[in-house]
Amino acid sequence: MRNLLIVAFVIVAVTVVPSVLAKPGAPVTLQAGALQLQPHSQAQLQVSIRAQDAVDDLQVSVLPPDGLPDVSGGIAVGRPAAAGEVVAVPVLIQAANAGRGYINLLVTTQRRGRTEHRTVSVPVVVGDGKLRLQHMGKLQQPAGQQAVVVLPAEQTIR
Amino acid sequence: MRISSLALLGLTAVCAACGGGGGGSASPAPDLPVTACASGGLQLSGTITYDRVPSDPQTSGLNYNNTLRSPARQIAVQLLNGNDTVCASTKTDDAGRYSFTVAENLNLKLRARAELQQSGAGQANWSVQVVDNTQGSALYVADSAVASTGTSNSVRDLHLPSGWTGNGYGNPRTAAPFAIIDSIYEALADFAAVDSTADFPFLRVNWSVNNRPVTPDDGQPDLQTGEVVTSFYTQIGGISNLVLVGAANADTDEYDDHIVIHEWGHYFEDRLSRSDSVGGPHGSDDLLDMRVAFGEGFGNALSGIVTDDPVYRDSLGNRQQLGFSINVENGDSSSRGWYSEASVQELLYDLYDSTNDAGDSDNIALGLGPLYDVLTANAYRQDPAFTSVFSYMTRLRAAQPANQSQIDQLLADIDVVGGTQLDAFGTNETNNAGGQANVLPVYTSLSLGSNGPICSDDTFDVPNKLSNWRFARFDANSSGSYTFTLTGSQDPDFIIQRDGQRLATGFSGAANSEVVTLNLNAGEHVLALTAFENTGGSPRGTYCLTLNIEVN
Repeated sequence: MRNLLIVAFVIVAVTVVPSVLAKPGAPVTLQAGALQLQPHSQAQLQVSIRAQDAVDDLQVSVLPPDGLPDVSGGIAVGRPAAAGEVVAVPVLIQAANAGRGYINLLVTTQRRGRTEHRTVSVPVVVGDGKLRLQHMGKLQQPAGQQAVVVLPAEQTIR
Repeated sequence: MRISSLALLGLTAVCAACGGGGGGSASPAPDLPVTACASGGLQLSGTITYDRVPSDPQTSGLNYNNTLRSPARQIAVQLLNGNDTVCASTKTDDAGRYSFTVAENLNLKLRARAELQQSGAGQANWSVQVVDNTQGSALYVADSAVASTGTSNSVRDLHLPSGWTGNGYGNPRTAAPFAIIDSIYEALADFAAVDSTADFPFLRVNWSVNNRPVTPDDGQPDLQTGEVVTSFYTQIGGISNLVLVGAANADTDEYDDHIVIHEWGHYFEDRLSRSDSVGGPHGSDDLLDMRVAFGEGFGNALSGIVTDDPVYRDSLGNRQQLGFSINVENGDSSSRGWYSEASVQELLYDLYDSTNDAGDSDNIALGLGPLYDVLTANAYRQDPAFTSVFSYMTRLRAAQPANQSQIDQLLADIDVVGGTQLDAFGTNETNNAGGQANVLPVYTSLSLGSNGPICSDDTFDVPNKLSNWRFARFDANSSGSYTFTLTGSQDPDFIIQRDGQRLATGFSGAANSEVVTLNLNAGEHVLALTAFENTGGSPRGTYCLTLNIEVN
């Protein structure tokens, strides 16, 4: 890794709460916007997790990132949180090549003995920030027909 | 202001042994549809299976070690010639079997499509596809290698693997879209069993390995990039779309059949039943807007009904090894009442299931049919009241005169008014969430002139919680033009609805007041009122609104 640059960021932003008919999960929202980094740099940031409801315990842990070589941090914040309280979680990010990566965080809450989780991902824009989607299978566009993604199957002939 | 109005909702049916293996069972081979590929007299047949990765009952994470080979039921199947041209089509049966008649010595490949198609008189009709939303909504298919038909009948079995290689997805996740569509088939089959003429509009299921729980800056899911926020249902351009996350090591839902069915339930409500839910974040302990509580409780209950497993599970995390569960039958929640999804799901599941639990007054076992009948009845779909436990249970109770005492016991158990005191508007409800202000009455009766104050508050959080929106009813004495003027916050908003149809919205964002003039027919109308500060804007707080109604 070259030209290591360490910068401290605090991610602040609007809390966006989309109105979709979605699955249940831990009562938290992510307060964050996309983080920008230069290639081959390092940054420390704080992700803000807001408890929507009072919880007996709120923990945040780092999951493997996507498109980033390393994300770490002493992230386990294990303590109660009041309704509306914002918990700042420090995260150390190592960026490599230009592109769009993601920090993945697992938020775990306990309320009256019940455990709930919610996974949140924070985009990280490295350099040009170009999104490189993963493509599973081979895209085919038959003339005049719906495109298909061809996946491999195992065949047994008898 | 706008409250992005995504359509909503629905519910469903049952299925035993889904997810699992197969089955077994039971059903003898039906007459399989056969389509000639070319002239000839050979039979090419076989079975298509996919990997179903079950949940670990202890962790609710995925248990790859117990992966099952499940039949790919009722999916579309094609034969392709050497030019990749389709020369024959059919579908599998409930055991995953297919059969074609083919000519000798043809080089053909077999294609399994993540697609359900059923149409025709005398049976339920449906159309479902699982597509890659990050590749132009291309349909997922799984192809065999090319092989010759030879000179005698042959059997070609196709298996669609999970791609799990012991420590991660080292190979393509072929089974994923087929697991999703099989969960949906389970729901469809259960509903078809109670209504053989049900007509399910086209449903597009968007799943991708790129679908991750990112909330874009504008708050709206972006299907092209896979930054989809979470798994959800909505309509896009008039088409029903279910979106499921698939980001490995973060959150994947393809094997979480309760989640697939929960979201399918929203589709069902939207297209075959009714929902007035505003959507948004929710959980078991939340005190929710009553419209949200009913829709989400319904989705959770439905997932238990269709799977015949009351334990809803959501796997996530590194290697999908973590998870959490919700027992939809036990109503374990600090929130109990008409504003609780936990209460709604317990109620609906208890109405359905055959397990009588003395602990929660469950002495009834209606099965799916009676629940479905009310959900799809015009009387419910066109009920003047907003959708809630009140509107649904009023209709169900009326339809079940022999079971009213059992129904009343269940309502009492979740602290919802019952008996002759129950009506679609919750008129006689006394549960005020522990003595909180701005909870009751459920509906405020309106008259011409000034009404209020009617207060929107954030006591139970925002943006879709109890008391964020307040409800009101207005009986127009005569047909004509009316003007509604709402004041009391920087951005007051409201909805006017009649018989399940939204007539007008006051979402303009105009400062300090919202004015709507429209023609009304005489009769009952309902309104939902809010301060946008509590449903999308800021600062949240208590806003006491005044609604003036004038005849023009």
